[in-house]
Amino acid sequence: MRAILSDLRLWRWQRYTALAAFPLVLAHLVLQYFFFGVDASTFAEVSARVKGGVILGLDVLLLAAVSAHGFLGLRSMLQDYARSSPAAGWITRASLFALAATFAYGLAALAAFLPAGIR
Amino acid sequence: MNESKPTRITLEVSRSTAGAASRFDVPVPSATSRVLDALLYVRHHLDPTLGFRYSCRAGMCGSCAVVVNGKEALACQTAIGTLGTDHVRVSPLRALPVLRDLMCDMAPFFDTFKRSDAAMRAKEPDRKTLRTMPPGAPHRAAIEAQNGCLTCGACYSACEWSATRPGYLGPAAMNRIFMLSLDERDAPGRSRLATVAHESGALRCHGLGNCSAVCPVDIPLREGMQKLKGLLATEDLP
Repeated sequence: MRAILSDLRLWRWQRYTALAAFPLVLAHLVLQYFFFGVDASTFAEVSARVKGGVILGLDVLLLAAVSAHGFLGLRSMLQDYARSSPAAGWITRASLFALAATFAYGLAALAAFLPAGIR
Repeated sequence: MNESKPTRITLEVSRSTAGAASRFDVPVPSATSRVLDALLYVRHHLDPTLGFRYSCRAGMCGSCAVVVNGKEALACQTAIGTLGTDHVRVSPLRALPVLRDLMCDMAPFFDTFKRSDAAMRAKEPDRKTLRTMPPGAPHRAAIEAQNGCLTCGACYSACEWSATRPGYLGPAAMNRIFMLSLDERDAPGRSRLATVAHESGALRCHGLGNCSAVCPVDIPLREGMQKLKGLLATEDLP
């Protein structure tokens, strides 16, 4: 566990998720503004889109990449102020917990758009 | 300041004994006179107790590194005329304990080289001299770009982390590790990267570039650090 959460590994993941987030955010914006249109955002319309699977997959990847990048970046900034290894360790744990919670909440929010039969 | 006319400056020097700065009225023969010349004038004519280091007077040894008007520089290489003011403040390097006036204890700085084991361990230790890298050798250009460190400590002083994070390795040691990790003659090679792959090493560097800005021999330390991070992102480390 310690090796999985090593500073180097988390630092690398912050970069990998930045690379992943870039095309995903771009795809999200293009789809939202040019393909679906900004006005097509009622519950029924979004639900119909998500039901297809591809959009749902993109949204899950976007959620994972952006929240991981954000919380790993926040961890890095908070650790600028950590003055001891235990403090740095707690910052890492808290950041990863917040990341997991955000991801779970995002999944639950996306699942709400799925028809009851699929959920 | 006129190049040809002698003029005078107010030299304000941080003092460790008095706990404050001392001000001296110092004649400057020409705009190309150096800050070290002004310090030597003070020592010879005004206050023989003023403490500062110097050796080569040619920008080669790095022993006269100080902070001049807020920026790290070699006193022997800083022309007073380039400062654009008649009030010159000289203080010791930051992030290092002051021994006396402008002299710092350089031990914490050199300790960063020891802690990161930033010394060549030749692959062929039985050779009398280190093998020369041919011009076309891989990474030679990258190593040359980062070469020439005087170990003056200016980058360590200018780095925001050296002063605020105990144990931070600092730009000079990590630059050396970067060069050694690329050097095909070095036995540890890329495995050296593990010595800087932690939160008191390259992962903590935010790339502000103060190190590059103050380096008296213009080593692109920030760029080197970015390349070092590139290696850390891709190399398989223990």
